[in-house]
Amino acid sequence: MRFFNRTDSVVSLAALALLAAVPLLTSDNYVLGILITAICYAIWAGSWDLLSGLTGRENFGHSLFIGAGAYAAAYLNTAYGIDLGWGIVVAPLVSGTLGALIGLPTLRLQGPYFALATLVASAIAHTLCLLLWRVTGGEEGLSGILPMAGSQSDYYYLVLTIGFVSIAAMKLFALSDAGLVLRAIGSDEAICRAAAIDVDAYKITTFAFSAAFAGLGGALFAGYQLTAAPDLLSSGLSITIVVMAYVGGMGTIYGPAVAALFLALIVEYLRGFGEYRLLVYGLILLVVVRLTRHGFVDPFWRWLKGRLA
Amino acid sequence: MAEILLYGAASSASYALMAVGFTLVFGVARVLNLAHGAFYACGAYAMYGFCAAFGAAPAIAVLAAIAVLAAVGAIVNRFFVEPLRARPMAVLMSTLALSIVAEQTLLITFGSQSRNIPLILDGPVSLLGVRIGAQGLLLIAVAIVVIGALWLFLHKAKLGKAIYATSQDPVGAQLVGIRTSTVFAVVFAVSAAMAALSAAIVGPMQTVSPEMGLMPMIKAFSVVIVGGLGSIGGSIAAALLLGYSETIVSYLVSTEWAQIVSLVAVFVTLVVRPSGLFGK
Amino acid sequence: MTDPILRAVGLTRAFGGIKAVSDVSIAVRTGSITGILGPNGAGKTTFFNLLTGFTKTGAGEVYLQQERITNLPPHLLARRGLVRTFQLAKPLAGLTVEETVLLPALRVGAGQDRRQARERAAYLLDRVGLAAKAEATSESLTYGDLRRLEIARALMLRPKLLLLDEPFAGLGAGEIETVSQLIHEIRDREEVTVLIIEHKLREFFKLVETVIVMVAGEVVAEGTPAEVVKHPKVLSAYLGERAYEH
Repeated sequence: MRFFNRTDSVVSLAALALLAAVPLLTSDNYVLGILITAICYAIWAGSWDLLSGLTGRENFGHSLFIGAGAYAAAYLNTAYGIDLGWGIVVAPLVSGTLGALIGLPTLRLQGPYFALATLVASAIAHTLCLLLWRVTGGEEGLSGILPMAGSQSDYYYLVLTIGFVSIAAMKLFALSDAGLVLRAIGSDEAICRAAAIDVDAYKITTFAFSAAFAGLGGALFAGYQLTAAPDLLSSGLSITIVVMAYVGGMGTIYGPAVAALFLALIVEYLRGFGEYRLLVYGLILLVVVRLTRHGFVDPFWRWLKGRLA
Repeated sequence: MAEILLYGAASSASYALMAVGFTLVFGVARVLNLAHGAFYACGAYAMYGFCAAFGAAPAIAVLAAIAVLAAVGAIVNRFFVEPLRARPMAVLMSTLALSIVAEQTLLITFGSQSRNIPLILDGPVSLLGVRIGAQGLLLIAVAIVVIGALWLFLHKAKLGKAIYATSQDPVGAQLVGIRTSTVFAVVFAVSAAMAALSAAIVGPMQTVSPEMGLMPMIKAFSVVIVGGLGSIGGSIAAALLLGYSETIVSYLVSTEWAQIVSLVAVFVTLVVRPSGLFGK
Repeated sequence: MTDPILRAVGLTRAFGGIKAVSDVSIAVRTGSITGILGPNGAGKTTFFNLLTGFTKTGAGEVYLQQERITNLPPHLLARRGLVRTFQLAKPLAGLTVEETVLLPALRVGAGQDRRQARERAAYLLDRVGLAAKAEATSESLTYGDLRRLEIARALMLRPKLLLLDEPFAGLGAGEIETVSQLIHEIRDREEVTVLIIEHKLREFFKLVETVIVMVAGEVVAEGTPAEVVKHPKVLSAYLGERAYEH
């Protein structure tokens, strides 16, 4: 059975049930807010992995697509009064298109060159966002989005549902024939071309999917914050996502998503410690890169399953 | 015109000092060192430390900061780069992590408020009818001397030739008895020392703060990409190109748009000619 | 006499002023096993790259069964039945042996029934002697296994013309014999024309029916193996080669 592993399915459904039960246990909007943020990070890290983990093309500008989605939804709402729900539909289209456009010239580049090109692309977007403040609101961002759900817990359920479905969809994609082809592309492009595979079309399409899910997460996040801020376009966010993917284990989709969920929660918890937050991030990354090849989450889960079996 | 000429030269000089060290590490050790900006910030704080704690004269403090960072560079190479050499992306991540740790450590130790470090040369001077800080002229002179010395070292000195040989063919270099691990350590030390030197001279003209390394590193990146990764001559040419075009755009439009100019230049270069405008 | 399956007319490609392939014209007879022989640096691999779309031509045309295919991208050529292997056989990281062979059938629009594709893959793995290792990761294979795996993957595309780039490179004497037999079988049973680049003389001459000799980017001789070995230009090129090889 290549598609469904029973243990994996049961455990992920149990995790979903646990997360779905949270609003029943607490009505604390702060807790729900943290979870919404963490789920957005999970979508971002999972979508990063879709392209970068499978093909080994490490995207250092994922924030470009997150920010584009957030700003698209925010702009439609604040400028034209279009409901946030439509924004959540449009955002992935905008980000996906951007992904294809940026992928077209950059996906030919190898290793570090692709990383730099995407990093620079997002830096250009970030700088433009600040320069074109008349449209984007500059440092302040676009605020005053009208909430789409009556209560925080309603919105939490929306984000949880979309998040779970997105990550499951991406995982299934990674397990499908297309995922296999992408891993082959990551290993050796020339062999794939000789095997009649249109390598460029595969990479660009996947980049568009990856960007679209990032934009979806961006719109959901803006809908929670009721603001699209320039931080969502920053290199800092891109790098945070790469760190999460490394910790989770690249190419597994669920690994980066789970790592993102936990790291976002830990960081939120560490907010009390203020300035030590990023230091902890840096140290975790240092340890992960130095000591592991496949991160923590995926190897740990395999080990656990081995013990249970 | 004279203003553009001088200010352009000063900013080109600061870009070149950072970029040449950065590209040296890439050219020889095949490592993209994302901690280069952290070297820059640490260099400025080392100088701050020597001045504030020991009351050292600025010129002495600069030398001390350079020495400290050279050692730091070699240590970073030994413990955070060497063990991961076979995996280029892992090296990238490792040096990225180091730069985050370094920046945050500076932030926690010294706080986020900016510090001042003293000028080595005080006071404005008049040149070509322009009043420019003496430190700015020092920057231009130091860049020319240091990069010239590096060039001589790489082409004339025995160790320098070994470094050059390693950059051309690491396996071959090892076969003829060059200890490449020593070469890599030296290259990292030189690169970090140049970042510290740049910070110690540029730092007093701007502000010293924990995140001060980021912009210079992005600039170094830009210069190195446009010039061609690993090419010292290309870096110098690209430093002049970007330094002057930014200065000109700043004068004609605004400083913010000048930033976009170099970013767009980098993106276009990467896409159209990843080997750089002046690369092979 | 049937039409040639492949024709190259005046193919030329220079790198930095040096002509790697210079005005090469050949015709490959349908159903033959044809060899391209030449010392290292003769431009054989560049010539293959030009035929298969991996390198853009400087000048000249390529025809597959009378149809002009010059500079079409590699994946489209592979779909038309012009399929190649590489000088260096490499595993696909993380893929099993079976998945590696199946790869051409997995792409979107491959138009193959999954069950049929798996049967074909199993059949080919059996043919190349890797059936027992179908579930192993491709990285765990020996170099000789990888060579045969590569041929199986190429056959998965049901090629009309199979281009083999130094199929004996890196193999021991026994393995060369096996691969040699395999190539013969393929031609006979799969109705594939085979074009081979090699510079190992002995095994090569036993295998091929026609030899085209390239030296310094140009065709210098053509004929049966027996004719070609007597050609003066071949002798001089190969005496020179032997002097510094081994």
